Amino acid sequence: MKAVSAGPADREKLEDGIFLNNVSKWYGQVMGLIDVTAFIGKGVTGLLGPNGAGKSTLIKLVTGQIRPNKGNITAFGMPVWNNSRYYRMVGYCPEFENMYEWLTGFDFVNYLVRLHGYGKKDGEKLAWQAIDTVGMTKEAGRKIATYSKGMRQRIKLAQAIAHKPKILFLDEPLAGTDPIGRVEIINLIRQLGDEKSGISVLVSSHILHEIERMTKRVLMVHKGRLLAWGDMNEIRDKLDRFPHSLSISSAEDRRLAKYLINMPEVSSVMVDEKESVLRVKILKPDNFYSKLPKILAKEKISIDQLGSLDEDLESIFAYLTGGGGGK
Amino acid sequence: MPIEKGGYRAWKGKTRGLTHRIFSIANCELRYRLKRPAIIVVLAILGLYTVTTGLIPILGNLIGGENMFVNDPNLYFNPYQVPDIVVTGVSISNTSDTLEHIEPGLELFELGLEPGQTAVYQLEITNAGTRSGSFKLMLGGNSGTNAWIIRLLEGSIPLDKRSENPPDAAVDYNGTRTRQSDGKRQLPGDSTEINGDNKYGNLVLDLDSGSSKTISIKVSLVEDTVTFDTLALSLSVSNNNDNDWFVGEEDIATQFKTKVRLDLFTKITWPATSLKSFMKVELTGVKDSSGTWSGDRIKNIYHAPPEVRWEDTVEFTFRITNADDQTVYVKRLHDPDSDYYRIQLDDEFGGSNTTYGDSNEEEPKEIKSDESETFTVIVNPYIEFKPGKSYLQLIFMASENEGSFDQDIIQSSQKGGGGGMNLNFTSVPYMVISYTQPVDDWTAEYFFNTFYTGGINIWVILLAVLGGSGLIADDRANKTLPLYYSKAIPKYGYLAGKFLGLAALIGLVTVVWSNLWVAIIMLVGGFSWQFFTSHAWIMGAFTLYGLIITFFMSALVLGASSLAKNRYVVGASVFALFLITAIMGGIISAVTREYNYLMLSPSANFIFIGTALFDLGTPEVDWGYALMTLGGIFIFFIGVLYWQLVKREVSIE
Amino acid sequence: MSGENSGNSMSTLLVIVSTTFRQLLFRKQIFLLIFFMLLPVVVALVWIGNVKDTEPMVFFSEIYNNLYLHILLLLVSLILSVNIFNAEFKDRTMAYLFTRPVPRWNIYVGKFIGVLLVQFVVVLPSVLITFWIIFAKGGPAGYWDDLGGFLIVSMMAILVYSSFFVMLGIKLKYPLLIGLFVAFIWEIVISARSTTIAKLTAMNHLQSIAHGMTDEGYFAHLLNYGDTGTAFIVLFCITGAMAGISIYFLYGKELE
Repeated sequence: MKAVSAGPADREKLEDGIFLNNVSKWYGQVMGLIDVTAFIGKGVTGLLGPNGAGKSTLIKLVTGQIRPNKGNITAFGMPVWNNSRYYRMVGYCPEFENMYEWLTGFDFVNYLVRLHGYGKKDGEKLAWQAIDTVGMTKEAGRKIATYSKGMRQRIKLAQAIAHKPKILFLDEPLAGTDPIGRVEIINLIRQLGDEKSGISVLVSSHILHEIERMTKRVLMVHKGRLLAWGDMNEIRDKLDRFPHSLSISSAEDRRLAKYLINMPEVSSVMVDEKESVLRVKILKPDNFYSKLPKILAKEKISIDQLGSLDEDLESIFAYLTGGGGGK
Repeated sequence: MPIEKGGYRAWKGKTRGLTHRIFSIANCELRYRLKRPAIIVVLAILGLYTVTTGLIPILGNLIGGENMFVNDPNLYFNPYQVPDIVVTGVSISNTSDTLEHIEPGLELFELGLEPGQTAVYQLEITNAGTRSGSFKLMLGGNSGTNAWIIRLLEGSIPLDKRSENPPDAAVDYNGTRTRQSDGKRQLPGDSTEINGDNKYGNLVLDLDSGSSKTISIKVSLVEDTVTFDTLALSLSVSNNNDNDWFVGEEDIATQFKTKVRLDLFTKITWPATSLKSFMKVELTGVKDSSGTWSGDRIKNIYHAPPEVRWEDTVEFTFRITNADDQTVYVKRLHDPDSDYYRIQLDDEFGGSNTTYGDSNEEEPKEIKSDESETFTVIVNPYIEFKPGKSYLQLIFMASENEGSFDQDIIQSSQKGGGGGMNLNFTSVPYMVISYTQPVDDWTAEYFFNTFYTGGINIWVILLAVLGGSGLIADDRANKTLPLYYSKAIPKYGYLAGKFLGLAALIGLVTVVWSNLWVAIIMLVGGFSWQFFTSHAWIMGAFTLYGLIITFFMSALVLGASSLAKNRYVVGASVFALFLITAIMGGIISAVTREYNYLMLSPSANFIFIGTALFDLGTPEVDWGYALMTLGGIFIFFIGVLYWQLVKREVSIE
Repeated sequence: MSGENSGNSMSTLLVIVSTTFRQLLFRKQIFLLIFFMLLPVVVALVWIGNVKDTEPMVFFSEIYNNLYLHILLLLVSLILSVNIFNAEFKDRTMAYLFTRPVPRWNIYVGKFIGVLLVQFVVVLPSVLITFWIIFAKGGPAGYWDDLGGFLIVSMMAILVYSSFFVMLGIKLKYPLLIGLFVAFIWEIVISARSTTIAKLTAMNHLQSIAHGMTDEGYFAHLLNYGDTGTAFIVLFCITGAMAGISIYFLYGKELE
């Protein structure tokens, strides 16, 4: 699949976010990223890809931990590498679990927030705020070495947001969290990435449905290349060669199928007797959706349910990476 | 793969036992470590270092024939040319043609010699080494006068030629012409006139390996000299080409790496000689620590039996007969029991290497005409000096005047005139045959000190640290202990596997390579198969010693590794332990003057054990205690391992 | 409050210093180092129990040279300094520091000062106690001036060795081997040579300083020593050079 490039949206300027311009990074013989051009603007952007796709490499590049071998990266108009001004705006929650084990959760957050120049009292205040936000108030006095995985994740998140950064990089923020915690963090991320807050959030994950719950805007990487960027649905729409899959349940499914099969927008209809649904593959969704109600009205056929089977990230991803979609 | 399609099926075959699983861990650890560049580098350096330091000194001999490390105090070992000396016989001319067989050893060989007599010592010099070569012989000695003619000759002297004493001789018995100049006797070779410390002869023998040659030392006491003197001879043999020869024992010991010293020495003998025609002095009895002697046994010569030691006293009984027609008074000039017992007499040529002692005069005894008196003298011949360095003189003085014993008379009496009389207790040249050990075998010391400098090779410590410091520390740091413990292997199995892995790595050097190295050095160094087999025990010693090091270091490093999560800390601490304990042990031992504190240092303990195992002498601390100390440390760290890994609950946090 | 603030570098420096200090001082391995530093005290106690005819200054200077200078200072410095960056790179916790608005030189200085302070806390009391025990039997009062000299030498040793080992820890993945070689072979073996080559070691300059600051004892009779002032300058230059190199490496460091 040919890599796409993701530039800023019309109303966004390069100075409003992070711009990767033809960036490549390799580790010896191993290619980390290949010719990636992307823009990370305000709001939540999901960074999507399987293990080894290059997500962490991309995040390390934009957080200035490594330098690209080719291309350049600018953030808010500034270079990223070794730039203290840039780091003032950055909050980074890494994927790895290692922290300063001998410190308590509070000490850890406080230490890192104070590196932003805050005084003792301000630093403590900010630290507690962040700890409260992530729900670690009770455990903040314990040493990190005694924390569970989920607690570590929360504390990592706390240190990332404590200093109120302008841009947040969250690498697998939900790893190890329990279901309730996951919901809380997802909600937090959505709040942070709210358009009104003006904060840019880049969240990486390989769990697609989690990303879906946080944002519609995604950056998809696979084998070091940027596969697609943008709104999920828009991406899907662009994938014309892959018919959309629908499921329609109706009491008169066979009669409906007869009419559907004659529509030029429909490529195939299958009756799933087990589930009592029709599985329809359509080529041009817009046309289909405009014609369908007319047919239903004319023939007086009622439908109980209409659902898209592959407008989720997994299907999109599968299409993009060469596999089939739909369930 | 779906489970039902065989993707997951219970194993129905046999599984291996615990031993196999333990060896799996050991094998894995060993293989991994042998691939690490740092360990490969250390192994390479160690191999190169041991081969180089072991071979260079030996190859130096191999190439140039010269020992370029002659002054190197660490080079003890010269296996090529090993001289051996055997005395095959001694004879005295005019007394007996029978060769007396002399047993080699540290006993004194006593030979009596009278003026005019000649003693011939016949010796066999054998090259007991593995290579042919030249042996330099030097006959040195000490005497008070020029009463001697000494020859060092190759070959044996025919019986009929033994008494020949040609001071002007033109021909030696081996056909070498000698020169005579300035009226002085010229001796063959580099020797000069004898007076004091001297060199009497040099001889160079070319000997093939295993072959022997006979040499003769001929000693003649000429008549026209003073009647008493002592001569001490020593024969030194060396394969060292150095031309500096020293007579002193210490000098020889430091200059020549392979040396055999043969001191030819006889006990004091004496003839009783009267210088005054009217006085006759006879020795009538001798009592020494082995018995009482009289008659023929002491007629002209008294030979003290071998049992008489240096410090023993000998009681001489003299009978002095006055053959004059008037009464004389006789007294003994010198009291041999006095503190100033040692004296040497000025010789007639004015040479002065003597020290007069106190004369403690006794009351003179009156001896009437034709009557006799008995005088008893207790003599300790060997006080202060060994034979060869001094001699004893007993002087009896006779005078017609009871109260006047003039010194001048004494001296003039030597020529036969005057009023006094000397009874000279003449000690003839005495030669002692004593052996140092024919061959000092430095082989074991050489190999041990070369491979294990300081008791334990620094590279072995480095290898142990590099290979072992992370063995358990890394598992703790990376939280992989539960991975092991969740397998079908007990905790002590995990421990045993780790231990064996490290022990195998260290043992590669201390056991396998050390033995290979010995074999390589011996083979490349050109030693004979016999030499190799006769010294094969060294390889056994290396094996045992190497096993001790291996097990100790494995327990130490592994135990330290179990106490930390950081391999750097473990490594640095192990190094520091060796250094600090060595210094502390040395300081505390020096301060308290107790050797036992040296056992604080593991390296020192290894030296003590190595000294015993390789037969290098007596260590300062008994090797048993050293072994117990190391054993205690070993057990301690095994206990630490057991506690840390087996007994305790392992936390993954 | 937004993410932008005054970014006071002194305050961030102090934060790093204090955290590093806590990190190193309140960990279990410090007990091992304290144990090592107690060994000279033990030797001193043995000495006063068996004191013969050795002058206190002679004995103390021997202890100082053989134990402190040749082993303990090197060991403590190696263990503590080589890890302050290296361990964080391995653990990847350096990412937390690198993504803060703290210049990397600031991170270096803060951690370096922190490790120095820990070493001062561990080493200097040991020197002081050992000195006091040895001279407690009534050593001449003047010798207390020498104590200052030994403390200064100790601090200089800590400074210069730490700067080197920190540099190793930043640059190398496995700095222990090189560190051990430098500490226990280069510094100890080469410095013992009585030739010019000995001047290539920090040990020689430290001994030169000790020589200049003591009137009696081992250092007063050193044969191969240099000028005290020059030694100070050389050591400061080495420290500065190592610091510069370390910061240079740090600025180029990528967190893989």
